[in-house]
Amino acid sequence: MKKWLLCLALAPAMLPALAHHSAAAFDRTKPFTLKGTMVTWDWANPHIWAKVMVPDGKGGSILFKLEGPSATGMARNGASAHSFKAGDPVKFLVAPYRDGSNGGEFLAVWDGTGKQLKF
Amino acid sequence: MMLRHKCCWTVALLASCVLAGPALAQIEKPTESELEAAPSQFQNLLHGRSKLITQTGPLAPKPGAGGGPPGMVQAVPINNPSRDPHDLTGYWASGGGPGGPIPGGPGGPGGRAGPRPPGVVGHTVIDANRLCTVSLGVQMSGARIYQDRYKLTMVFGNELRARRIYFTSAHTPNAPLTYNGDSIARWDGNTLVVDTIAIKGMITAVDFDLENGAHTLLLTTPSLHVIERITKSADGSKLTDQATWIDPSVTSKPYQTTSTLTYSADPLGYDSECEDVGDMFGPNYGSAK
Repeated sequence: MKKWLLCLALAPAMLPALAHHSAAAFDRTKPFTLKGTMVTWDWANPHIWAKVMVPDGKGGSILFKLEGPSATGMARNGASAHSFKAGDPVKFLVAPYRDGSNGGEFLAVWDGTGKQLKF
Repeated sequence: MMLRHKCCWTVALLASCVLAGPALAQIEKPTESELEAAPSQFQNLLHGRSKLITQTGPLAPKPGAGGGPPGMVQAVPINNPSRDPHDLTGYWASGGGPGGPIPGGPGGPGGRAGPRPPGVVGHTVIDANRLCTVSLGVQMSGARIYQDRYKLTMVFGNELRARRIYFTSAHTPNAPLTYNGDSIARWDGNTLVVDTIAIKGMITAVDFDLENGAHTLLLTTPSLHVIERITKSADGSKLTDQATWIDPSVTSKPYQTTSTLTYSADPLGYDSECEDVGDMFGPNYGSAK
């Protein structure tokens, strides 16, 4: 409850969600690739979410939360809820959150063999 | 152009250092081929060939029927829709009257925001995924409604999704959680009162602060209870859906949204393909290269 209200209170200029929500939160002008290990591949509505553990280069790791396209769109191109499982090596092309938090929108995804899941 | 892209990347890298510490070993500048792997609608932005335009002012009406979602075919109300207030059959496109296409949002011209949850400042949007799977209410994307003496069926997403509302007095005992929930209805005069419980899945609450980033919450709320009052206008051309959202796990008191649909003679005008017209992934999204 507190978390909810805090989150709402932090947003003085909210915009409505058209087709779920806009992409204004993501900075598509500053893409990066991210390699890590899949933690969860949430086949969720309205958008897929992936949590990826990324080595920090110092022996530790950092969790990234990535929002993807709709499950409908990915399913249309052959992906499924079982495309990934925890522990799978993955690579994402990511448009980061503008606020600098560890996450963003994924624009492309590859499995451990380098095969891309199209959408 | 390349220089500009490199500059962008440098700025991003510096920013990430400031915000998240040293750059991670597994985060790299994408190669050209990796950038090309993204859907085509992103290419200009990813390659620095165009500038992302964000809107910071009041919400402007989107193209479409009565300010409906972008890409929606303009609805053309017919001259003589049924005036029977108990007959909701027909194609209904979003927008076109008080309430606007964005339940609970600031709305465009003619729109009206629903009361905000307590303690919230600015515009508030509670997006319960009504455009897609959780199609509570005849809201946002419009619907085609079929009606018989036992039930009312709303179909969405180019007939891909259906919500059924049964004319009965009691919910299904131990109703399993489903994306559309368990909906029952009764007539209160000329108003259809729809009561929905047992809603499965994630209810997405999204709030955006364009200046400072975004905060997104994903909540699973099986305790959500929605009461809708759906009323047809006297001339038969409008449906107004006033929804009351009750979820003690989310807000301390119920909040209300209002949306209006306009009768459409165009069988393709009432609906929009979920996500394919979305502004998140662009108009060509869904067609792999």
